[in-house]
Amino acid sequence: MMNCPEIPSDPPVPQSGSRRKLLRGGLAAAPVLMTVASRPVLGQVACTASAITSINMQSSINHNCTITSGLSPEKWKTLAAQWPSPYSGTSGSTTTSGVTQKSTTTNNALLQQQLAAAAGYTAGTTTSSGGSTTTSGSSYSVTATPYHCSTTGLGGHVFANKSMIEVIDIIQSSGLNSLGRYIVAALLNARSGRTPMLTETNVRAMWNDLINRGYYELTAGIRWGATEIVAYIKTTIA
Amino acid sequence: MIDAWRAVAPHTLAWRRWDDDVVLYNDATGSTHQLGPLGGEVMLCLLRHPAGLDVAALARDMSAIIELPDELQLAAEIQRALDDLVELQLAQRVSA
Repeated sequence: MMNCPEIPSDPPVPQSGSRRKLLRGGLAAAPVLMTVASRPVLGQVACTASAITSINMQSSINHNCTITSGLSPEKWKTLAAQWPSPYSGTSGSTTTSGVTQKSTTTNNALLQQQLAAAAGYTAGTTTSSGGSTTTSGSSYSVTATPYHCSTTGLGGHVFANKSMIEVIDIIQSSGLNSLGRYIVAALLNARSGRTPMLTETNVRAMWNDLINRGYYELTAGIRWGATEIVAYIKTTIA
Repeated sequence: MIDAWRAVAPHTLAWRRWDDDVVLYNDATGSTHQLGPLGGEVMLCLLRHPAGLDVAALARDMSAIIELPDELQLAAEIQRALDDLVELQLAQRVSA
């Protein structure tokens, strides 16, 4: 989220009678009065709402904000072995001796390398070439990432020592339980580049602000509770 | 199936009120928009409800703060505002 500390908190709902009167008088005006478009190459252009339409249609090619490709908590649960580094959805250790060779896709090989690196991969070498991976005399251990830890950046003690995969697997899902499940999914989606408009920093802020202040302030005067946060994260899931 | 609307990429928006107008910056498009009283209130309402709202729900929310002249229908005016917000990539239509 953008840092806009200079923007004052502004109550979204007007309270005064004069405010109602002004709104009534302003209804005859167009809903959108003006748009100033920043265009990196051509500089800034100011024009009316009607004139800006064509520009925004062009800019939508470069700034398509509506594509959602995030995965659901349920989907991430089934992909526990393939979570993006530094997060891990599985626990255990793997030791290989001699030479093992397997064919896989380049993406999977890269993902396994990332997982191994995050989990303390030791001794031995791994090489990838043309979709094949060769591992020689190596061992590494993997620990499921705790929900509350410096890796996730999620504060508090709501889920005690539960790991991310345990939180995502909570059956009774309402309130903070539901929020926890979707926070995990949102973190993984952001880390894997599926939700460029919702970063890991945003996700951490959502959780930490909610448990520390009781709400998350999206922008000045717009406060979300757990229900709204879950609803928003759902909009980023395909 | 009922059409609903929701804000596009709420995290990229910052806003400030000037008199009755709302000036809103969209970091995703780089555009800054000056919204009239109704357009501004509709946009802020969408931000408060990330799951999305249909026109009827928006009208209920708006009716608390807007008194309409007899010749204007609130739902129609809200629909007009939504159409503009969609064009500006600030809102999107979803099927509820």
